[in-house]
Amino acid sequence: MLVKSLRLINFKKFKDQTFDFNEDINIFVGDNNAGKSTILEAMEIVLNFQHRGRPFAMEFSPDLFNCEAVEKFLASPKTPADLPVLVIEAYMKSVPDYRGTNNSLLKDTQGVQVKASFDPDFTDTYLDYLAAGTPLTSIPVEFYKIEWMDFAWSPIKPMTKQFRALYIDPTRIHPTFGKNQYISNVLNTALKKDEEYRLGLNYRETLQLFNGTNEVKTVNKDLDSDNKITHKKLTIAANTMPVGALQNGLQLEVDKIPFHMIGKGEQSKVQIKLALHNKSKDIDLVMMEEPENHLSHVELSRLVQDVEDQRNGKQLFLTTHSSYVLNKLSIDKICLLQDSYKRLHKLDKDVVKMLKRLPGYDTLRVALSRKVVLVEGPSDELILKKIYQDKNGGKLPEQDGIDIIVVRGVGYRTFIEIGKEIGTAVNVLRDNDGNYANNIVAAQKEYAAYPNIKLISSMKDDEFSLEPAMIASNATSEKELESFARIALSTATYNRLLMEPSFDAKCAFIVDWFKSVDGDGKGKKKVDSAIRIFETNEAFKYPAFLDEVLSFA
Amino acid sequence: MPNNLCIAGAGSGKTRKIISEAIVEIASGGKVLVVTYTTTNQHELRQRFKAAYGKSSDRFVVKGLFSFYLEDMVRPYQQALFSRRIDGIFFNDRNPHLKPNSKFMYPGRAERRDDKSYNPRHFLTECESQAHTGLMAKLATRIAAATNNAAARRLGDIYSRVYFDEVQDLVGWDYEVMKVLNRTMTSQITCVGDFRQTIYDTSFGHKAPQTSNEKIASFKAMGFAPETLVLNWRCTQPICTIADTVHKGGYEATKSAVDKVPAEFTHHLGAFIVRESDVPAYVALYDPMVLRWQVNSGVKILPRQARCCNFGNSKGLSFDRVLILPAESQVSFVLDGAANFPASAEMAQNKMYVAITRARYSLAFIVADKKADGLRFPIWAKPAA
Repeated sequence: MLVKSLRLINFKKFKDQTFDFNEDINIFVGDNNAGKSTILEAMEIVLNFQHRGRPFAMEFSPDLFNCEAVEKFLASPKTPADLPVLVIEAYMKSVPDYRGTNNSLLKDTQGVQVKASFDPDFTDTYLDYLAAGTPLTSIPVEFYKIEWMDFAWSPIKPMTKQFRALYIDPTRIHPTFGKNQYISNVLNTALKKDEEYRLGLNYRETLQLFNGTNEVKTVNKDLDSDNKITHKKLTIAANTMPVGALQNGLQLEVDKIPFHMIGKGEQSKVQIKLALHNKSKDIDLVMMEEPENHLSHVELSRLVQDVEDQRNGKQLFLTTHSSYVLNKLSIDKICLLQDSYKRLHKLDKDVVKMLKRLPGYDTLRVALSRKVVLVEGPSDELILKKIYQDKNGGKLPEQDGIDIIVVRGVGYRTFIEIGKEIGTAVNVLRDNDGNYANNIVAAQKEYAAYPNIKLISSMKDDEFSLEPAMIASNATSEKELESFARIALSTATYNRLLMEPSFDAKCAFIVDWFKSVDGDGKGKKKVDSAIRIFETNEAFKYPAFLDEVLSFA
Repeated sequence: MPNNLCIAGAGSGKTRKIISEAIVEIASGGKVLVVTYTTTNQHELRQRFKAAYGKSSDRFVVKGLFSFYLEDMVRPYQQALFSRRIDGIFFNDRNPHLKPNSKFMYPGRAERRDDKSYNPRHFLTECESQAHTGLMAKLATRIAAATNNAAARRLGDIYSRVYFDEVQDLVGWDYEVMKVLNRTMTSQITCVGDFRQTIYDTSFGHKAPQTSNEKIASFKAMGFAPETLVLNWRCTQPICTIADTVHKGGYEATKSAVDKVPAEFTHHLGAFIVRESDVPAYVALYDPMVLRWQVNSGVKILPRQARCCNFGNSKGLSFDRVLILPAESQVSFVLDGAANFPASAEMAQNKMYVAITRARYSLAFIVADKKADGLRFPIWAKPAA
């Protein structure tokens, strides 16, 4: 079984939205409150009829309705016809039993639907209730019926369900509350069906042995020996369990420590792996929330490797805030929840390959930002921030949703490719490396079709990077140059500059100073200088193309 | 493989055939549906499958005819005709549109409304949530026409092989559904039936086919390859031969596959006439299963301790010894084997066939004392006290 898409109507923040999925891995990414967890929640409801691990029918509440739908209802005459209908539909593949046209699209396809709607059996009661004038301030879910059916319009019965979906969220395990249900889920995934039956039988037999021990016999002998309590025989005995209650008597242990007592990180790891191995091979789909939680980087990288190696055809749905998870599991599996829903399945295959090899890239930032500035080094970032601050009354660019990201080498292309797919506005500040026509104009042509990607650099070849461009802007007079040098250079270097005989020599000195040493020294000089510029209160000038870098249409 | 029609006699092992074929199908990764009419047969199929396969399998699905219509032929595509979910079925033992004891229809029950749209009142109960069983095949046919046979294609996607058991009980519109499936579905369909055992109607009205001959002709016209199971694994040869005389001609002669009779039965084998007055003694001696038309048949003749079963309910069952209490319409067959049942008495004829073929070793007919002499079967002689 595969879930091709999910349609939500009046469910939480989604008025009516359809989400298409990848057949293998789906990684939901988005800001907090973007609805990542809501999608997994909806999946859990429609696939397992459970909400946060508990039966959905018991958890159905007015809070699940879309606010807009609620407001519309409250402003309406509130007749039964005005009551909003909540629909969650999973459109599927490879479950022919679930085929039919009984879905919101009236389309002949396979799938499952959960629908909460006014129960017409309650029409009279509801109308009486309204007539009594009792104010209604929320959706009267008491008058609703909830149906869980396939598109052939047969009710889904847990016993004959054609697929199995597992929701992994270790944060749900409470030491006592809901423990059994959770552990039994875990055990279920670990055991084959016949193993489970054998264990159950064995467990019951063992309990019978307990009943036969001398201690129990002794206790029973004296319990009511004079028949004062009852005329019948009173004894104690071990609980005989109903079939399937085996899990209540068992627990999973890791190094002899009960599963719910081990670290959350280990819990989620064990659980994810049990689900992936899934001895009985009956799990079609696994959902997990933020697998990176509670895990160190080393553990996470091992886990992600396992997920990659042992997925074995299962469809995966996970949410993450980790670029590592994202890049490693393949960036083209991203399902981005922003203003709209977007997948990156058409992303350039080379970029995907590159990121899988170099999973350290902070791709999530590009994916989640609406406005991105890409720069080559930290000094560029500091200077741009300073300029933005001066121009915007002390506000930093990130406060206005502009994310300045330092990238090197291949990173440019990667980020730009992602920006192309998502539509993020990306302004790229590049050094022209002494040849504007060759290095910049050619690259600009490549992105001409993408108005959201702007490649910006100094058009003058002698301004090969930001520093010479800054110097040139502050060199209209010797005095101006000295004042800029005082900001940008350390006192010692500044004094050496003052020793230079002429204005031209001073210009040459400072330009040369930034490029004189190769390797780390050069970068460090630039950064030191940028920090000084960032911290100064003195005025300085900067080249006009930096304004362009910081402006977004 | 072309679709085929398997004409089975009583005791010919049709259930065994279905199950052994289904197990082969499942072993090669397929999924099998068996649709059958009676609940006893559904139960029997499930039990025998479990016994043969060792466990139940979700790839061997048995459904009753009406469940099959509702779940597979109607509901998945009912939106084409009716948008409100049809929750269940409403069992009709007669045409629900006819006023009781009258030839007149209730108003507003025509199939189509004035605007040519389908009338829910024709197919559904008043609350529009239940389908009249007698009109479900018709509803399925209409939905198939409106959806380009979508339900048949869906069925073919789910099952690699579909069996219809007891097809002799299908009539009229059921055959229209069969035509749709036969035309559209790629998975092989096997219809199994013993047309001599037709004793139920799944619908009413006069739509053809109605008689056994019409039904067999209808299958042949659809292109079903006919095949006959002539062996009888239940009854001894004399009983098979008598059973064959119920329907003269038209069917291949039955061969008994029973070659050994357990020693405890050998003292009383074959067919006999039992005088009404001897019934208590016969029952006391042999404890046969008494088969009769209905519950109140023969209350004056049968002793209280006799085990009894109605003809209809005995279908599919086997008994070592059978004692038949013929109904009025069946007496002449017992008295004179040369006479044919009249065409109007097909039900009586088929019930007689069912009754005879229940017996493994001995078969006896109850006859009024004064008519008992000189018949084609020996009279059972009450042993001297």
